[in-house]
Amino acid sequence: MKLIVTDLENFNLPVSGEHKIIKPDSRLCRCVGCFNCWFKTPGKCVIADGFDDIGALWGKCDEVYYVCRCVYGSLSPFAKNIQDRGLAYVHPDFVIRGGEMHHRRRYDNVIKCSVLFYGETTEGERQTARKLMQAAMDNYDGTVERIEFFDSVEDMEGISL
Amino acid sequence: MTVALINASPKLSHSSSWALIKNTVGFFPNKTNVKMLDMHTNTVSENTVSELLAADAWVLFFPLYVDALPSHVLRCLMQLEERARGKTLKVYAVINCGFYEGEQTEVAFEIVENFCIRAGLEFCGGVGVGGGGMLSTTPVLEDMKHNKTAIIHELKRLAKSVVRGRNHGVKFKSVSIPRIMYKVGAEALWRINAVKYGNKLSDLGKRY
Repeated sequence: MKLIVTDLENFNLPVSGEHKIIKPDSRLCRCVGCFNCWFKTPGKCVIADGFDDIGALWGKCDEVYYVCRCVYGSLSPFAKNIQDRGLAYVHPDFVIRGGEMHHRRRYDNVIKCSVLFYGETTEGERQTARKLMQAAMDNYDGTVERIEFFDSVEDMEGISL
Repeated sequence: MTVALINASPKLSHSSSWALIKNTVGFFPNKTNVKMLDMHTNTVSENTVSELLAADAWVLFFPLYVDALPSHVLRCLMQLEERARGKTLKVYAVINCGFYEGEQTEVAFEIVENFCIRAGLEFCGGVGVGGGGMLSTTPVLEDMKHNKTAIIHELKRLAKSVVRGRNHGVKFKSVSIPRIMYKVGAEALWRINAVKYGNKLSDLGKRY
């Protein structure tokens, strides 16, 4: 399955195959760092706002797309909020990968992650964004498929996911 | 001078960021006006904005979330970007991560630096702290100093840099125990907490 996380209310890029789109929603709460998704209700967030199953959703995906504004070289706050709430995707235990400590897998799927950033960016922000997505996918033991930058939402016309 | 120590943990209490602030505040000389400010939610209150804009330096304390800033910190920085523009402000950060290696905070420092460039503020580095899981789990922080020696010493040097208005550079430190001990200790703690909530140990790996 493809998961598309976008901060665009009017997201209208064509998407093929089985997919789910997560768009801005006023019910969304931020991750409060309680770690209850690891030891109280393992695999599921305890915040009942309709976004408590992001970790499980990641576990069913083979492709994840972020379509969002680039903010200081990061995902936009909404997309980052969704990513933060998906902490339960990983197991709390640690493994050493590439000489660094990371989390053990909870699920077997290997996620291919792509990001379509829109908005004006500096070269420094673009470099940071590339490093960030590689680091994030190293952490999730997935791969970075594609990272693209567009000056505006309109410039994404013709792209399909 | 006025220094704002900003607790940007999403947790209201018992956070590693708070533990680090408590260990830093005493390193500032008495003549320094140190303000402890909170940034726990998606917006910065008008009172806090005023205090921040009146300061000479900010030291942001927050946890690493998936190699970057927690979403609420991003939102707060976006709110502050316009308001802080044109101010003569130096920005430092102390970023803690649950992994052993403080180096894993490197990209988050870049994000803070990119914010500073956008807002026209001076990015002055800080400390990336590994082993964050150990920092808030002891009731008496002072008793933990032997386990956090390298971190404590770097926080002392950071306070000195802030007071002198110097660029500290980005330094990485970790708790002063071997990585394997940190791993074993953290994983034991997860199991104790899981059992406390009535889970079986095998539930830690539950799939949906």
